[in-house]
Amino acid sequence: MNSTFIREQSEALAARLATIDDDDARIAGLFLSAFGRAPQAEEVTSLKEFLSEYRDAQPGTAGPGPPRELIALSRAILTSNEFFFVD
Amino acid sequence: MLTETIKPITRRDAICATLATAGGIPLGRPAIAASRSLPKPHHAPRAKHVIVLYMSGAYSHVDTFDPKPRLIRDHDVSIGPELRAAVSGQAKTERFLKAPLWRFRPNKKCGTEVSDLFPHLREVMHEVALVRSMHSDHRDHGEATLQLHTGSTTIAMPSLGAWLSYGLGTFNDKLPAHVVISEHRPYSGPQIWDANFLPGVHCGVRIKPGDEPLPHLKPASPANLQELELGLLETLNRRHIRHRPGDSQLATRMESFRTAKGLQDLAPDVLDLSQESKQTLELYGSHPSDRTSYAAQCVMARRLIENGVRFVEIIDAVGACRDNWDAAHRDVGTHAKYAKRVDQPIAGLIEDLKQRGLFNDTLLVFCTEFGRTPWAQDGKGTKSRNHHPAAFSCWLAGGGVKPGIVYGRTDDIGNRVEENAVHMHDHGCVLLDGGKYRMWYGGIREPRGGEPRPPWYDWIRCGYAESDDGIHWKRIKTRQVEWQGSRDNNILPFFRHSPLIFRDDAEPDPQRRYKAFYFWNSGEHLDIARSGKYGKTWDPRDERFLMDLFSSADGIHFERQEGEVVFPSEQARPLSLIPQSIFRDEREPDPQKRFKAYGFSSLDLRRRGTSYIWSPDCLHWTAHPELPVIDPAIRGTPPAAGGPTGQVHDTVCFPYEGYYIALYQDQHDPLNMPVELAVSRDSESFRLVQPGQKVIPVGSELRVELIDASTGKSLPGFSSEDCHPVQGDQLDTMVMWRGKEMPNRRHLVPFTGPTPQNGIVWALCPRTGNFASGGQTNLFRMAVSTGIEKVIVPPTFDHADWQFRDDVIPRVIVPCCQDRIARQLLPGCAVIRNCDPNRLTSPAGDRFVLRFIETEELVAFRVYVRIVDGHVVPGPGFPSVDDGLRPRCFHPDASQIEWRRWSNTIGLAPGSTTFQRVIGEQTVDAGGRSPLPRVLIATPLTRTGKVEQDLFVEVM
Repeated sequence: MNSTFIREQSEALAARLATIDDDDARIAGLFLSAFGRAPQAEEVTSLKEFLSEYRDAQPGTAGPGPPRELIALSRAILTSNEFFFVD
Repeated sequence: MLTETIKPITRRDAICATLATAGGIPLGRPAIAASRSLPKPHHAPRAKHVIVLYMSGAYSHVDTFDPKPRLIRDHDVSIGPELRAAVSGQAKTERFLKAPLWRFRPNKKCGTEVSDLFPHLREVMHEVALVRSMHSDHRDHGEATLQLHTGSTTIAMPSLGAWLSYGLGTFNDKLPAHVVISEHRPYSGPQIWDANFLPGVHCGVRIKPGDEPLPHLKPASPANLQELELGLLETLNRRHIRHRPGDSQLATRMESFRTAKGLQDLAPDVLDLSQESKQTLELYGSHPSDRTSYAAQCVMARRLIENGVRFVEIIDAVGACRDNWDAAHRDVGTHAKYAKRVDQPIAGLIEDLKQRGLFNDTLLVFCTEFGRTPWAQDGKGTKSRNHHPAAFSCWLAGGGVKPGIVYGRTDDIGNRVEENAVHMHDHGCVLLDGGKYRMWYGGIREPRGGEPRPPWYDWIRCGYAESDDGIHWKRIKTRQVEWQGSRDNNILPFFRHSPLIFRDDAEPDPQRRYKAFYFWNSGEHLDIARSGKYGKTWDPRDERFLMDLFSSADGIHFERQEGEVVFPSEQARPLSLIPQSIFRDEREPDPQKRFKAYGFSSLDLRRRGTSYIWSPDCLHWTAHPELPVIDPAIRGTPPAAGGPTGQVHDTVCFPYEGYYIALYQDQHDPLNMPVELAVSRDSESFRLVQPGQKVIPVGSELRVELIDASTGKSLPGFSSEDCHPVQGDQLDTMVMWRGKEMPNRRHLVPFTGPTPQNGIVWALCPRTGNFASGGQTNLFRMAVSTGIEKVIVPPTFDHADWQFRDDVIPRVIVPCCQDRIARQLLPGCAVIRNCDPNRLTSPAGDRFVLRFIETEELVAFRVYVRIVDGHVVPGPGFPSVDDGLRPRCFHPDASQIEWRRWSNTIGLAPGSTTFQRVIGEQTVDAGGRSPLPRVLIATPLTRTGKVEQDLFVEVM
């Protein structure tokens, strides 16, 4: 999770997500590209909650690069069991 | 392959319980933590922690801990052709002894000699138990290192640290229980600290000494943000695992993030050596800015165990696998470099642990993968010593280990172990004591000539015996059944052969404490059923599988109820099904499966595998719809040469620490059925552990030779070379010579006691043939596990005036029994039976000699010779007889002889130790007739009974 590789990959994924306008579409795109499926309603809700909590908790102004909440979201997806293991 | 269907148990229970309330619980730590410290040890342990100091590359024992003055005296002297042929692998290459490069001197307090390589360690040898008799199985580093850590030279198994973590749990939930400090990748890589089939959480966490002991430990974001992110990850993973309950890989990976978080919080502090005082560091030979030396690693190990880590190993290697103790084709003199690196730090560690009061709680293990040859590797006077697994030295200290002793001895050059050999497997093994043993066993007495001959199943009865040690047995008179006009016997009613029995400690009704089972679906039981005895009047051809339950308060007085096994799938309905182990499974969430029984089943005449049935009440049983649960078709071992076999026969299964362990007979070939191991997490999907690895092997060998008395030479075709070796742990087998098919099968029948939570005791019952179908006798002998790694074959089974033959199928109940799995079987006894009369004609016409050869476990027997016309001639020529032998199956009336019923036995005597190669021979004078030795009989039974005939040769 803290390795350079995962950091680079989550930044790249977050940069792609940043080109999408709203969170619903981001989450749908993220699930499709990472898991190959659409998110369930429950998942959309909890991911949106995460994004808004993360935005609120961030100190100061955003730096360069994709928004940090999108990096964190990408990192969580890339390190999740569903991504890690193929059924 | 068997796919592991998923049933929540133990650790998984905890995880699933957490998942069931997903959403409400933050990070689920408590449940996981509880599961990590859940298993309780079987006895109060002395050592709470272990530090393994593994010297990678294998130091030379003769240069370090095992002084051999002869090597100095005979330096550069040839080791001679005999030794060379036996050990070098290159028999033609001349080898010369090599003197140690360092002088040995004694420790002043205990006298243990250590070479000048270890001046500091020598000063603390009075705290150490030195083992000079280690040996192992492989001469290559990778395999030997794997064996040192996992017990296996081939397929990786859970490592020692993983077992300890698994079995004993952790003291600190935030730190892993199992840590390995390894600067470089060792031989065999991470396999040596892997958890393998144990849950992944027990895998060792590797620390690299230096500025960043654990890579990627630094969080990518501030703590509050990281917590949010970890929470999201946990939510994602929980939702994912909800539809895949019980998958240990998923759960393990989830937990690894929690452990990593714990490490983030705690590890920097634990691994921070700057908190150590200068004096302490100096004691180890370290200094404040040192982060990487071996001394620093020893300090780190101490800090880890102080903080609750259960197991720490330091893998010593200066540079990967090339810069270490390996002195093959290199100068043994390089040992100085490696010894200097570890000598003071380890002595300092011992001293420091003592000062802190941790020494008695911490077991130190100083070890290596093998030794080094006492001779120079590359010819006379060369500098190297080759790999030498046949002998080496290791030591233990602290943790309750007896200090200042030397255990074991090698020969005068350090080539072979001569005394108290410690196999790498045994290293660190602990034996536990048991309580009283009880046995319910089947006995068979074939009617003698002139006696009435009731139906054959009436020859079989069940007897009861007890023992304090599982080896020496006493019959306990039960006085319930009249036998030969008296009730003064130990026969139990109802049972034939032996029942399957267990003590059900969780049974609320004390009258039902003991539960015994009796099956009516195969072999002799069918005949009994047809006879209408015991109220069984149904015709077995109606294909009901009846199974009686006998309940008892004391295991002696039983009441019977009728039960039945039903088969949910007609397709899987077997020909026979014989449960051989049974237990109450408290962890099983499904009350319909409260009781589980495993055993043999025959699907058809060729396909045999392990049966599994369950019941809520011990009366109504349901078979698993997909029998067999251990399937020979999946077993995967190629059939042995000579024919397509591969059946799985008798099986016992018992729950053990969250797993279900099964011991099953694998039929490599009909003559060889060792016991192997399978493991399950859900009690129905079994994983075979190292298929082909004999957990309980068939024992040593006996050969029999027939010799023509007139020439003194062996009969053609009947020499010992021609003899198919009889292996040592069966009581009864047929002796055959080359070219003849062996008609008997050799079995080891495992079974277990009824206290599965506490572990196992089992017996091995070698047997031959099938009484019911073949008319051959079943002869059984028992072996009992008395500890972690040893199975003992009882030398005696006291039948004294018990009139039956010793055909026993014992079931053992042990109130406080042992744990873990037997590794080896001490050779028991061998038996000869059913010599084929048509093959035994002597060219001399009337004289020949039987010679018994080569076994270590036979010590005494006597031979009697009988001529078929009734004239019995005792044989004079055999060694003196122990009083423990008694005849069996002796037919005074020639007309009664039925060839296939003859049973020929060479018995083993109590306390047997060694045996001469040729143990005796007997000349038979057949009075002009063509001699046909038909039967050899001995029996390893009574110690008190009058010896009449115990081993005899019958001549026609």
